[in-house]
Amino acid sequence: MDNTLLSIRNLHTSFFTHVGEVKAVQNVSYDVRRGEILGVVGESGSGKSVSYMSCMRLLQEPGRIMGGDVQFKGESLLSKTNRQMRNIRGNRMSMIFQNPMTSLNAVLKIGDQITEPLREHKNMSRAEAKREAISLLERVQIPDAEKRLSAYPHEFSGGMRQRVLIAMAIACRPDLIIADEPTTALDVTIQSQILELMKDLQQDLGTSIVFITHDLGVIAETCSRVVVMYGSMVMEEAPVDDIFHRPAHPYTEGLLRSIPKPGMEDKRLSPIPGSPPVQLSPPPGCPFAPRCNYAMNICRRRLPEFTKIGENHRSACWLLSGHAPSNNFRRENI
Amino acid sequence: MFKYILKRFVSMIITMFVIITITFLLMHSVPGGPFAAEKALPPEVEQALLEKYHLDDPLWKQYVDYVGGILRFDLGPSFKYRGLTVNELIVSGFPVSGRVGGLSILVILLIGIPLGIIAALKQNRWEDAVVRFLATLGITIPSFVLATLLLYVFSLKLDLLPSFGIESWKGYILPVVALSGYSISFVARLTRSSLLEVFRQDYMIMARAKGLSEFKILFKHGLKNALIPIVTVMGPLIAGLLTGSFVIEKIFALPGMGGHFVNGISNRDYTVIMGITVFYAGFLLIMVFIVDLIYGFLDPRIKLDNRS
Repeated sequence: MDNTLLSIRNLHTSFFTHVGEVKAVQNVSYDVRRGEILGVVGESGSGKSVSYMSCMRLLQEPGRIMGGDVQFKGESLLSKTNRQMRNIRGNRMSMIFQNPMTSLNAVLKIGDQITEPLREHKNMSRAEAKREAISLLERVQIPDAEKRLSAYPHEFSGGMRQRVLIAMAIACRPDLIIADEPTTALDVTIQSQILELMKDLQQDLGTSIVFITHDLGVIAETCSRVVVMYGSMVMEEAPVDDIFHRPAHPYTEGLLRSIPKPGMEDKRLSPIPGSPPVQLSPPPGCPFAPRCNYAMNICRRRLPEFTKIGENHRSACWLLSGHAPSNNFRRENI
Repeated sequence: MFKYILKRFVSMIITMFVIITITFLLMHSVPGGPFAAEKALPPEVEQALLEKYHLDDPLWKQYVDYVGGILRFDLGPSFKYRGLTVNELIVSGFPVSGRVGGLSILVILLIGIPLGIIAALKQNRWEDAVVRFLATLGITIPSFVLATLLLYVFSLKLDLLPSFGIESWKGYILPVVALSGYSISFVARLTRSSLLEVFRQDYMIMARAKGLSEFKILFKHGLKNALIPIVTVMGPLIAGLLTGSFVIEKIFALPGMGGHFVNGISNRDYTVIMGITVFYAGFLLIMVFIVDLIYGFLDPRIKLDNRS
């Protein structure tokens, strides 16, 4: 049986700003499988959110999809009409946004906002939708659910609002939930509660979840597979254990080295030197080459192809090519 | 809620009191008086007039008497329109100004807001360009220029509409257009910018991500948020329009309040100046109060009373 739910192929997305075309997503390809939690990790501006806004066809001006395809359950999303797309959004594919403070409409009641997708997509009556909304709120562990329906967003705490957003996202039992930094704006203690909740819901509903994050801790706690993005491209794709124990790309290695671990309190963290590129006039080679400790001549001239390392593990790096000279990175990691 | 209304009521009375005092003092500090004319009156006559209207009393006594009158809703007699009281002037003038102003408000809401919505939805396309051009034009052309232009075209050249008076419904058209031109443009621009601001908000992207129709996204999620700044300007605008515009009333020879007010000032018709100022101020305060009530309805984050 085909296990692929969402398949992104050679996706290109650009923003046409007044200073020129910014290539926010370049040649991105990977799959999201049914029932998995996939982590998409990268720094701000690496194109991880933009690629999903492209998939949902929610890009705002001046963003435009320049090429490639996105298949959802075997059907191309980019060739669907706006109306067909509306039937998918919030119904088969839903999103949880980063900032629970601003993602809820302050002038509408919570109940109103939760029942909206139900009434829109499931043709529920007002009463049915209300009953369903109560059970959804109970499901995301909001106490006093029935009473809270008539409350406004400002009467909820940040964590509670994120629960409301989660309730909204699971309302129609979607096949895919895209969670864009769902815990970034929350306190650390609340973060783990929200992650637990999402993991539980994923188990119960069998939904696929894509976690877009820059937090490797979130990835380690929740995901089964990871896609690493940098400079609007995919650098590495691997099962979560491989990412943490056998990273095959210098960028992934750099990310791991820049998070603190227990037992290294007295040592300095080693951040990746330099700053991420702006994709206004990208250099011809690998986007990470200017910051890479192992960069060779070819890295600055040509884009590396993907090299398959294991069953589900691939990485775009010249060091992995058979022609590359024996090097420290390879010896240490693979 | 009741406590809030009471609190607002008390503060409104204090504000009114301050306005009355300042206007009273300012008015009396302007040189001249109601009976100072180019041809001086015989001293006995002038003295008799001053006595009749108690203008020879000390200022504080005049002030106390006047405030006492206001408390009895008596704004006193007019000095210039013999035999008429200020109450009568307002009762005859306000309906005229009110009808023209009320129609203007309707026109502003029914044209200004939809134009703003269209411009925002079609941002940077030709529809937007047209609305923006008209709105800029409307804001820069003063109402008396617009009024004269309208008169020239529709009364003088085409002879379609009367040039003065409001004997038939046709008489209302030109004054209303001239009066609302500026405000339509203003409201259209405000609606456009307010909506564009709202469109950028996260909850609008969220509404889209939920798969709602464009109609619901705009009217349910967008407009309620975008209306808040519009309501803010509508309060004073409504007060201003309903109580009459001097320029428009003069041009179209309408017997409204605006005309009385300006004539009152040049005649030093103290009671008329005071009366209309008090009336206008009271009206404005009430409108501002209503705006605040509407705020509470539009935005649940604004709590009117501090009970939570």
